[in-house]
Formats: sequence, structure tokens, C-alpha cells
Amino acid sequence: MLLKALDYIATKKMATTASLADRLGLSEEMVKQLLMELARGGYLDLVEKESSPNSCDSCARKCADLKKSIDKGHISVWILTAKGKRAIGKLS
Amino acid sequence: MPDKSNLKSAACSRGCSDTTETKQHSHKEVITVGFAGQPNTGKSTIFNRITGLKQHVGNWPGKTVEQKTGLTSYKDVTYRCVDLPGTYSLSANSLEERIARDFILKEKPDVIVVVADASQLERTLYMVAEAIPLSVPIVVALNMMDVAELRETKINAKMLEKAIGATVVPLVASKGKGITELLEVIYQISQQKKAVAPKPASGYIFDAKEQDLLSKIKENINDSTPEGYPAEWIALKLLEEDEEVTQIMQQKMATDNWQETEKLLKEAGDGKLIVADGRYKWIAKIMASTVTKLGLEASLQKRNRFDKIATHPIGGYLVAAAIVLLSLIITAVIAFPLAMVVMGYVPVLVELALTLPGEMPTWLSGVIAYGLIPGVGMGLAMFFMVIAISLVLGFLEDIGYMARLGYLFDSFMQRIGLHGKAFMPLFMSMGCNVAGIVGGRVMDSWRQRMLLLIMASIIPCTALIPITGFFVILFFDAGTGFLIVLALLAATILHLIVTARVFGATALKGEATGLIMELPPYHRPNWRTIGAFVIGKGKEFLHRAVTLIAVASMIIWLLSYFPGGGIEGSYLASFGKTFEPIGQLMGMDWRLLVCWMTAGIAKETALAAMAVIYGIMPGAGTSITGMLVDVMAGRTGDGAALGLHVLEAVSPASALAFIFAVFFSIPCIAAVGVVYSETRSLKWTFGIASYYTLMSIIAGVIAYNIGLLVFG
Repeated sequence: MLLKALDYIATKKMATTASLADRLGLSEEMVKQLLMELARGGYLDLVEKESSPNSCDSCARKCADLKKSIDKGHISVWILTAKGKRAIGKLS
Repeated sequence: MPDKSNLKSAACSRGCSDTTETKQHSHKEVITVGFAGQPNTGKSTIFNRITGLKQHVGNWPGKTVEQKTGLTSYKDVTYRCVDLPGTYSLSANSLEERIARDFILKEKPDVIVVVADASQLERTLYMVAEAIPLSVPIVVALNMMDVAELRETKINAKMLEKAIGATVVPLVASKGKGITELLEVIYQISQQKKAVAPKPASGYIFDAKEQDLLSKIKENINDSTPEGYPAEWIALKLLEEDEEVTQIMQQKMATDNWQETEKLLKEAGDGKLIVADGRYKWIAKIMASTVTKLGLEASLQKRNRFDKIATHPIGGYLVAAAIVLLSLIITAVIAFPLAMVVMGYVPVLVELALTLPGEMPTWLSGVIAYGLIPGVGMGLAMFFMVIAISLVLGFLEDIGYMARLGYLFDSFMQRIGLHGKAFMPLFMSMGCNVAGIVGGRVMDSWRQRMLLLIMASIIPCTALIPITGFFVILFFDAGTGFLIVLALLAATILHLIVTARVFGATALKGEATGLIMELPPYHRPNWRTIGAFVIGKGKEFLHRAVTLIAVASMIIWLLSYFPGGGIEGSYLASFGKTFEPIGQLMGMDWRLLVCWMTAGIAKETALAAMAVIYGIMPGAGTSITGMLVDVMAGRTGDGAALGLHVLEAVSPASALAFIFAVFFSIPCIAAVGVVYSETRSLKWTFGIASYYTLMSIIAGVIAYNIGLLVFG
């Protein structure tokens, strides 16, 4: 299941949790759980709040609308790491 | 609530965690109960309900992690309750996890209560899967049943019990519901009246292939298993590459056996992944057979149906194009008539400024009449555009569509080979390029970061959208305008591809990676949030209109007036004429060229420049403000196309070149400043600024020539 998820992410390059849930026949909540587990194991990198290091604060425009939506946790992105790629290689 | 006749909370004020002290308790026997669970599952609430408020709080021996213990009695039995640290698993990844696991393995509690969150069962069942091979009696406290019910999640507790192989007690700990039932189950287990022993882990959780592997490992280690450690658990931990267990077993096992085990583990591949995979397959099976999420599933199904189109490689772009068209129509319908009203007052105020002062020097009345008033007037007309576009953007953001747009855009970026980590900074660039440039700090290497820095400023920011829209509406009719917007988007994509190819050929080689995104759910628009967003944007723009645009207008007018008191011999004209050969490539005379140049300070400045430079041209028929007033007053003859009037000052081909050149010019002076602060390199800052200027000229030249072909 985790391997299938990793393999799907590597193959698709860009995917959504909904499409992975469809592929694995699981709920999206369950898929998020798998992704969190993979991130804990270092197979995926969760890019969320750390990628917006108060960047809007340094901007003269102060139009932090996008930052707000990111800070609300609206968008989570998981990226395949080198370890994740190696794991697929080992197990395929 | 627990039955008061049977239950007495008996926490000792001096601290009763010590076994000697607990044995002095008046009851006959003391049963140790450990409470394990992930954070935020309500574990401590259950613990508090059972032990009362007077607990002993200290530290775990030799550790700085807090330990809570408390005593309670039920049906003449005393229970020593231990609140284990909240952890996501029972591995040894953190101090807290090690404490929880060592407590279970070494202290051998009589019962372990694993607290699970009923509303997020898939998350919390993982610990149950880990606890099973520890061979300790388990009770699953299924807390937050009320939250699960609110979310229309139905859990068949009896089926769950069968599937897990341990007693499941539904609870709403915050209201005290189910606490007595939990104590009754703990009591029955302690009295061995209730069969609770979980089925063997490997035969229960894992598939045949993994079971076979685990059996082989177990065969090798069986004789060497340390006392009190289940062989099943040891085998799993070896497979999971647990450092502590591996070290113990390496010392305990005979060399031959250890080498054979090592070989098995190596052949197995990534053991951590195999074990976690097995546990999640087990959780998925349990979830499928025991949990029904009525509300969530229904809403997800609806959402997924639309998302299949909205994120489709072709369909998604069609949806986005339709939304762009709709946004333009809404903007034009709302903003343009209001802008015209404001522009109508500009000539009146200009006349007033020229007649009222009397003794005021000519240059001063000129700077007010032809600099300040048209500049701020243009800014205020633009204000309605900002409001209308913010309304559309705020609405799309609030209902959750903007993330889909970001997904579509970044799937394209992935295809051209950009590293996955660039996603968030580029996505943020759609709001503000400065945010994207600073967000580039997440990139691993200098080269990637530089590439992202260049790419981030190509993304049209929210400030550029209304300004471009304003120019498009100013110069062209709606149909042509829509085609121009589409052409601008296509040119942006082309620009990104070219930039990625030019700068990224070596930096990105082989680094494209997989990426998965959780899209936010769609929801009904919250008009209060949208209103706040629109007001915020409006305020921000008004502030800029009365500061930046007003100041820029006055400076530009002064430069257009001095030293000779007329525009033709002015500093501005000299400056513009110096660069006129470049302008001619784009079909721009020096006036339009100066407007384009000022866009490099901030896009809005181009508006001020246009209002001043064209506003002071003789005769209302050739001034843009005059033309707008004419249109508003219905003095247009055919009344249809504002573009026809603008043609008198700027040809459609030149206007097209201007729009493209402004769209691709340096984003703003703030962005250039941030490029410097991020790179600390004048060479890079100058290089990047020059690159944008060059691309802006190329875009202008191409657009001009296409314009000549199309408009003649």
C-alpha cells in the first residue's frame, strides 16, 4: 500500500491525494495517513508552512492573502525524497 | 460517569506512584494500567476522569519527560494508572516513544488502554497495530464518539472488536460517557474474566509473504530472545531496523544465526516500509469493514467528480480559461462604468486647479492640474478594477478553486523539469513575486535557488492582473481583450519554458521528482471573508494610489515640464528620445516608451505616466482622460469601441506591444531589492533585471509585429 503510493507519486510526477485515493481504493483520510507515515519515515518531504518563512512579512505590499491561506493549512504538498526513490528501486 | 459506589478516586497527595506506597492502600490487590495513545486523542481526559484531579506528577526515572500517575479503585480492586507520553507510535524515534515502549515491555502492566480517536480512526489505529505484538492485554478506548457522530462517521464497535481481537469501549470522555464501562472491562481483564489476548501479530496483520519472512527471522532468534521480550515483536523490530533491538540481538545471538538473520533482512529490502505497509493494509481492511463515513464520503465524491475535470491536463485548462473569461466579464461589467464616473471628474478638477490658484506659479498649478489630478484620477479609476478583480479572486480563493489553479500550473512546471520543492514558492508568486523569491530559500542548492528566483518573477502577480486588465480594456474591445489575455497566458508559459531551458539545463538535470498535493475542500463562499479580502486589497491600493502614484505623477510631470516649460524640450523627452530606437522596435514613440520604463518601478506607475504624458497633450480629443470622458458622455459616434479613440494617440499594434512589454518587464523595484537581499550579489541582481528587460523588449517586438499583421 505504502509502496504503491510511492510508486504512484514517482510515476505521475504530480498528483493529488484524491487521485491516489481513487487508485488505491481508499478514503482520502487514509491516504493522508499513508503520506504522513511516509513523511515520518523520510520517504516523502512534507512542504507546508516551512516553505513560507514569513516571506510576505518582508514584502512592501503586505498583501498576505496567499500566506494566510497557506498558514491555515489549506495546502499540503509531499515530495518524493531520494530515500523514497531508493525504496521504490529496492522493492520493484 | 463511573458508578460511585464502586469507584473511588484515590490519588495520593504526596504522590503514590511508588509500588510500596500503592501496596499500603486498603484494597487487596493493585492492578497497573497504562494509558497509551497519540496526542489529541483525549488520553489525558480519560486518565483525569478515572483518577480524579489529585494526581502525582513527576518525571520518568532519569528523564525530563513528565510522568503522571494516579490511583483509583473499582469493585474492591485498586488500579495504579499511568499516563504514558502522547506519541504517534511505539517505535523508538523519540524519547517519549522510548519511554512508552519501555514501560510496556519492562514494567509489564496488567492492562494497556490504547486510546483511539473515533473521528480519525485510521490515524490512531496504527498504535493498536504496534501494541498487539507486545503481548500485553489491550483495551481500545474509542474516544470522541460524539465528534465522529457529528461528522456522520458510523463505527461498528462490535465488528471492530472482532477485527482487532481486543475489547473496544466507545467513549465520550469529555462528558464522562463510557468511563464506567471502560473500568468494568479493565476489571474483567484483571480478573481474567474476559478473553482479550490478541491474535498473533504476524498471522493477524501481515500477508503471507511478510509472515514467511517474520517466521524465518523468529526461527533464527527464538533461543536468544531476551527475557520478557516477545519474539514476534523482536522480529518486527529487527525488520524495522530498530537500533536498540538490533544491538541487543547482535550481542545475544550466535554469530551464524546473526549472519543468517542479517542476510534475510538485507534480502527483504526496506524493512521499515514493509512493516508499516503491512500495518496500513490491516488498518485499511478494518476501516473498510467497520467504518462508514456518510457525510464525508458523499461530499468527497461530489468534489472528486469536479476535481477530475478541474485538475485534468486538458479539461483543467479549459475550466481555467472559462473562469478567466468570466472574471474579465464580471470585472468589465462592475468596474468600467464606475471608473468612467471617476474619470469624468478629472477634466472638471483640472479646470478648477487651473483657475482657482490665481497667483500660483505656472509650474505649480501645472503639477497639480496635469500631474497630481490625472495621476490620482487614473489611480482611483483603477481602484474599481482592483475591487472587481479582488472580488473574483477572493471568491475563487474562498471556495477553494485557486489551489486547483496552482495545481494545474505546477503540474506544468513539473513537466518542464522543475524540482518539486519549487512548488510552494511559485504558488506564492501568484500572490506576490516577492513572497515567491523569499520562499525560494527552501531550495537545496544555490543554482536551483537562482533558477527559482528567476522563474518566480515571471509568474503574473495579483497586482499585475488588474493593471493589465485595465490597459487591455483601455485599448481594446472585450472580444479582442479576451484573446490578448489568453495570448499573455500562453506567452507566460512559453517564457517559463524558455527560462527553464536557458538557465536550468544543468541545474535541474535529473532532479525532477514526484509530488502529491492535498487540495483543500470546496466550500460555500463566506462573504464576510471575501469582503475582508476585497476591503484589504482596496485599502492597500488606495494607499498606493495616493502615495506612490501621486508622487510618481508629480515627478513625471515636473520632468516633462522642465527645463523649457514644455514637454518636447523636457528632461523626460530627452530621456525618452535617447532610448527611442529601442522603442521603435516595439512601435512605441518616446512617450509610450517612458510609460513602459516607469512600469519597472511598480506597474501602477505606468498608469501615472500615461495619465500625465498623454493627459497634457493638447486637445481633449487626443488625451486619454479626455477620450474616457467623451465615451462616458456618449460623444463617441458609434459609442462601441474605446480602442478607436485611443488609436488617435497610440496605434493598436503599439498598444499591444506596450501591454506585452509591461507584462513581462521587471515585476517591481521591491522585487529587485529582494533579489539583491537574497543573493547579496550585484552581478546576479543586475543580471536578472537585465534578463527581464531583454525578455520584455523581445515580447514587445513580437507583439508589435503580430499587431501590425492583425490590426494593420
